[in-house]
Amino acid sequence: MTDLTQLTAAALADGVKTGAFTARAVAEAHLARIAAHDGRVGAFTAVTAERALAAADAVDAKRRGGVPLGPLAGVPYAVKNLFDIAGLSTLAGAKINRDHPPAMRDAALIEKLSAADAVLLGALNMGEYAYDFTGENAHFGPSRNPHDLTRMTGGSSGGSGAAAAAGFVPVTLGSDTNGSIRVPSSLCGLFGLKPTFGRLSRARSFPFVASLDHLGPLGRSTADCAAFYDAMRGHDSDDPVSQDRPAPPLGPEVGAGISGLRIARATDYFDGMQEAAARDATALVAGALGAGTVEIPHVAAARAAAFVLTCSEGGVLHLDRLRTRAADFDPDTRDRLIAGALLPAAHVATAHRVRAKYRDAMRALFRDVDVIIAPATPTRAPSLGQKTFDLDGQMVPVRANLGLFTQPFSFIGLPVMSVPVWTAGEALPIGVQIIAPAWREDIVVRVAGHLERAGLVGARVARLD
Amino acid sequence: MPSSELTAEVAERYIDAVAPLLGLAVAPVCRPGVVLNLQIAMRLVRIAETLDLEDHDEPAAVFEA
Repeated sequence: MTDLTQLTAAALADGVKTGAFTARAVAEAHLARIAAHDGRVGAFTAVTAERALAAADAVDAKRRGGVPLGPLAGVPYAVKNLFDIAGLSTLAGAKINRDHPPAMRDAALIEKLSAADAVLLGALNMGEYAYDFTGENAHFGPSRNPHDLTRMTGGSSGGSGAAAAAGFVPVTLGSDTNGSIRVPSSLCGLFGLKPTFGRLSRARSFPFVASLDHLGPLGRSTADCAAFYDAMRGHDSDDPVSQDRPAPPLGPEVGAGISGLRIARATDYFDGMQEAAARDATALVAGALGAGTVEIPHVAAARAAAFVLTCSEGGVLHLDRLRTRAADFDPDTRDRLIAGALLPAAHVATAHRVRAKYRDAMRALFRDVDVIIAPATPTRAPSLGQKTFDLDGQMVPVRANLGLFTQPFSFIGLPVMSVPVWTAGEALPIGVQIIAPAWREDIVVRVAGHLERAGLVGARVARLD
Repeated sequence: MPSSELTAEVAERYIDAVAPLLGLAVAPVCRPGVVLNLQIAMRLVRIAETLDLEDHDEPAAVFEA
């Protein structure tokens, strides 16, 4: 008998639509795997089993009644716990938020996925208030990497990485302010799509840095990420940065190939500060794509400005909580947020100006290049609790530097997918970023789909027995 | 542009001067971490400031009337 937890979202939706299995059977199989193993993994902070089974039964009833099913019929998924789920307090990884009243309504993206007949299984662990690249959490415990439970998932969407890699669900939703979809995708061996800034609605999700926050899917195939994106796209006036512009579906692009694309590997900044694994994986992907090279302009200044904006806007968002409940924060988060709140306004204004100038330089660069290839993280998954790592002879903090290569692209809102590479003999994966011009998610999935069909990149469900 | 590192002593004085303006009481247990993070942030401010900005390089903050 097929183990339903090993299937992709596409295969699960097909099976439910054709009657090969029921949505209830799919939900029950995934809930059973969560019950058996999540105690060791730490992916979930809430499992919404009752809601999930009711939703699955509704899908099965639609099929029995001859009602057309949505594109994600019966596909289980889970969301980072900064998404509102009606009836639950939105934790955003914080003990403080346990005191918040339950959400009255689902987040906008959950509503869209419900309309596509996907089935929500619960809320996922994350770094406190999303200010994190490790997946560790002082209040709820760490999310553990399913491929090696002694190692980090990466963050801040740590539970999102863990749940998809563990086979608890085929697809999760995360948020990405500086790399929080792409870092856990890299460390957990998943495809992670951070769409263009303003593409997917953030309505009814807990913010971190309003200027930089994105939401998107993490999954075990390019097609699954594309299918979830397709179900979630569309303008939403409830999100002030949502853009009302055409958003063609990505599904048809996954198999479109890379013919005609001008592809280049990012050099200089992206050649340094990494272990051999990152360099080798990027070279493997770039070589397979016949990529040339390109130097990204102003990249160190851009990454630094992203850091400044993040700590300042984050600090200001949490200022009242820092005044009244400082002791209830994770100390690692708290001290950075306080420092951010104290930063002079002049430096923040400068960071915004750097952002605009860097965006303009990148727009010019994209006149000659369609796709940029870069490492996603400087290393494979560090050990839980590890505070520093050696990058090309420099001992630097893990927490700040896991996002070294992701920050420059989210800073200007470019669409990016991290694709998972497993080099020969290695038990742990590492990601490579595929970056395209703004609003060109189609290019990103064309390249990812090509690499996946060529067998160079792919996700694995971790063995947990 | 100031080029020197932010020393712990200057950071401490800055916290003492500015935190009250924000209504923040920085507890002793937080101070070493806040000082360290201010130093890191200022290091990155200096890197961001290496980009030459002209008068017409406007901020990228989003607002639509």
